[in-house]
Amino acid sequence: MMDALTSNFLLAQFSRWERLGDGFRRSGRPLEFSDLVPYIVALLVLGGITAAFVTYRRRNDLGRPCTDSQKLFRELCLAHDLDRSAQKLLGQLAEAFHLAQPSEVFVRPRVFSPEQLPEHLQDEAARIAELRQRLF
Amino acid sequence: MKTPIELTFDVLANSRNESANEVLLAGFEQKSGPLYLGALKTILARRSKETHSAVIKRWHDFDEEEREFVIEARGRISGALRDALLTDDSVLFGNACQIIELMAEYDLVPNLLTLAEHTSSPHAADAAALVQRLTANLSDLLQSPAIGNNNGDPQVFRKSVLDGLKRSLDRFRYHKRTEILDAFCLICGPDDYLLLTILDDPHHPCFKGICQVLASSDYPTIHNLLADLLQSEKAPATILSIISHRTDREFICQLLGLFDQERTAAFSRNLKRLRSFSWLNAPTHRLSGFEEQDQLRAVQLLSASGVSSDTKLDAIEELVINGEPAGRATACDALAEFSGDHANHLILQAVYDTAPQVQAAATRQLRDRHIPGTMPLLSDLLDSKHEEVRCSAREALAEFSFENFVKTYDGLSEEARQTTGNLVQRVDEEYLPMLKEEFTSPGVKRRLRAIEIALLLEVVPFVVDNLIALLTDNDHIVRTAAAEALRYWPVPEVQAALESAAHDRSAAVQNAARSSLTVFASYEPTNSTGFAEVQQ
Repeated sequence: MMDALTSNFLLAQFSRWERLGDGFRRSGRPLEFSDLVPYIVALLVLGGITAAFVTYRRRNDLGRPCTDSQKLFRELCLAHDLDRSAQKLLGQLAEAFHLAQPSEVFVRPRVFSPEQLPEHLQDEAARIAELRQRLF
Repeated sequence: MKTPIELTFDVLANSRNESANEVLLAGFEQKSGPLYLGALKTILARRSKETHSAVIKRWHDFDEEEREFVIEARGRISGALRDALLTDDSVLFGNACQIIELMAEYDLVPNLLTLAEHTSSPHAADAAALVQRLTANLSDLLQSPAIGNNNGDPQVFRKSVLDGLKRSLDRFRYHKRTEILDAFCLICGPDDYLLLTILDDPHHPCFKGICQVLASSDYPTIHNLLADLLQSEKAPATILSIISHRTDREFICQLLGLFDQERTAAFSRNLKRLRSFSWLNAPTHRLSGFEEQDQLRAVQLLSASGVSSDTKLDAIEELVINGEPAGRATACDALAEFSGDHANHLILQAVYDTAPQVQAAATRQLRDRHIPGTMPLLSDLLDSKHEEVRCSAREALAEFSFENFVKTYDGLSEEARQTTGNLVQRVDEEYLPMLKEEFTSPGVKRRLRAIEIALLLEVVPFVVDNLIALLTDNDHIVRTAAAEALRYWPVPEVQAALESAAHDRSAAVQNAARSSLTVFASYEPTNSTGFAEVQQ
């Protein structure tokens, strides 16, 4: 019974089987590089998307062991619910005081002192004071 | 609700980003304040050798609270402590040693031992000393588990530390660190194979050092070890020699304390192998200066030991003369095994002691020693105002019992009967009931002898009922003797009994009864009440 069913199924697909080995026959049309281009492009796109996804995940995976000062800074900013402009201002402060890494601003309240602010940040004194209030 | 600073340190504590360590060190650079304390706590909550080393380096500046934070981080900072031990920085090393000791970090003992064995290291001596202190601490913990230890099971630590120490002892000939020997003795136990091997081999590199430790260490654990070895099945001769030579009071007390518990056969055997005690000759540790209980135990120890008789007698003499009351009494008891004039002299001296218990102890031995003039002394002691002395005197004169008196009565002269009878009355407290029993004995001779003894001892008032009963005895000689004896107690009851006996079928009884009644007539009349009062 099973043998009969199997043979019927194979016979039903037989028309496609006939074209299977066309590319390998001397008598058939030889395989061109242009034939593979769409496949290669598709693979590259897929690889790019995967790499981008992995990089994105790695960048935002705070539970992953690493030594990344920027990531730590983002982690702290996220914990304190700081928006992008506040993060930028804290980064500027760290740079102005030549801190080893931007996260140090979270443990150095003196960098927020208005009298110690560098000239180019004097305009931001009010926001910096507000940030100090928020972080300490 | 957390404060912003708490939130920052919370993130830093839990972050798996190693950059957090640098941020924390930046916070820890500040000398005080909430940021500093927060950084310290967070550093100790994380596992980072670099930041922990920074904490250890500043340990000497910490106050009590800060030090407590560090101690609580036990286990997490072991790596940094291990690194600090290997550093050349003396401050860092010193701080690490302090922390290890406070934390009782026994896991680092192998590292300390390695360092101690490096004779060229400037920290070797300190490391060896720290091993000794840690082991002493561990031995205290093992001795008193009630002290408690949150670190773990002391037995587990003991095993690992002991293994490390044994490995180090294998290399003793090279490093010669006596502190390691000391540490080993503190936790090895009396059954330790290596200890017993060393003690049995005078050529072992550690033999001299171990003997030195056992002979001089004042750690109670070492005293316990010696006591345990003394009670072991086969105590090494070296141990017996060490015990004989120790003269420190604490150890002597420990040794004497062994006599509070039941003695095993092995312990008794080992005690017999002890031939001397140096402390007996030490002027600073005279037996008479010991506490009362220890004097008792000292006598027990001397009696059980193999110390020479002369030495024992000297010690006992000292106690008999200058000891505390209980010590003097026990010393008197111990004199029982000594004969001779010296011992006799001590016993006679003790008989006049101020303490009744000493008098009693000496009195018990007076009779057996056959000292001339003892009988009058014992006779006097029978009337001592102290019950225990009287008891001892009676015990010493136990041969003067009523039973013996009755047995030998017929062979005694009149004078001897009188003297012995008086003594029996004072020695044998049960003589009266026994005399009453004699009145009812089946033999005529015994009943007659009982009447005679009653008259001799002048106890007729106490046996008057028995005598009245004998007036109806089957034997007329007994009835006659009873009628004659009753003449000395002229009371109405006796008179009535005698008047009845005057009508006896035997003429001899009638005559005796009448004779007694005639004697009655010469006395003042009395009554039953008077009789009872006199009897009382």
